[in-house]
Amino acid sequence: MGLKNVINNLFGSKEENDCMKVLDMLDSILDEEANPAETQKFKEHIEKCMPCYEKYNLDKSIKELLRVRCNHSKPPAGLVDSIRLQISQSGRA
Amino acid sequence: MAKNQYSDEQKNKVFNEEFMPHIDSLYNFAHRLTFDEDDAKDLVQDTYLKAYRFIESFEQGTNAKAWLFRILKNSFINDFRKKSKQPPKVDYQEVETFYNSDDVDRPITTDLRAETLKDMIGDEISNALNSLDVDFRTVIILCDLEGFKYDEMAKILDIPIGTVRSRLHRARNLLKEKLSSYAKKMGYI
Repeated sequence: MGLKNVINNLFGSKEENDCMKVLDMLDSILDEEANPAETQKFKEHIEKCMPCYEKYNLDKSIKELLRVRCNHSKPPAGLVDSIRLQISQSGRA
Repeated sequence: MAKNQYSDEQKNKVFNEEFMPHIDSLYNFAHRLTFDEDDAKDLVQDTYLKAYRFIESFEQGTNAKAWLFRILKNSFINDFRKKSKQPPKVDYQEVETFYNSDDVDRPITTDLRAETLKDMIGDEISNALNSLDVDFRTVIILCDLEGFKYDEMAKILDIPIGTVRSRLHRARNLLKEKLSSYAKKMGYI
């Protein structure tokens, strides 16, 4: 937790504190690592808080885009055969 | 040392049924680590040969994909980086110290919107990922491309789960900054 968090916890409004707590969970929510209680709390919050919903939506979209767009390098033809050949040779040695 | 004794027939069965199905993911990982097709091919080949040689330390029914990714990552660090003439561009310790400052944990303010991403139909996201330092790139690949859980990532990378979380958080902020600067350059925001 940074100094900003400490100051906000002491002097910040309740709404700001709620947002900060919820945004701390964002990665866990996206990666399905949060527990059911956290997930519930998160869902309830973003239903009524537009800025937090937008942050969630952006991160979720980036995660999806990465999965769809960055998995395209396919192994060259012959790699599987070459691996099998080397293994059968090492087995005989 | 060896935990399991496999017959040759069992070895081949494990190899074909549990190891080979992950070759596309391993190659994609290797390619994004090395940025070179031949190096990626060598790295994947080396990973499979090691996996076969040490097959007796693999427990059947456990996560073969995570085990293979761990071998590949270790080969990359121990063999590949040493062999390549260029030293790593950035000293990771320095990067970690720099990014451990409070500035990076602060939620970044960005003009980037989910809708803007839909306009990025080219290689922007892939280029943004490739521009990240290797340790940040790695956590994004493991989590977002391959869907590994945090505890699996901790084992693959030999780091505590807390470090997985903080590194992933920083990697995502850096990626967003990169995407945001692309969007500005292209006039979307």
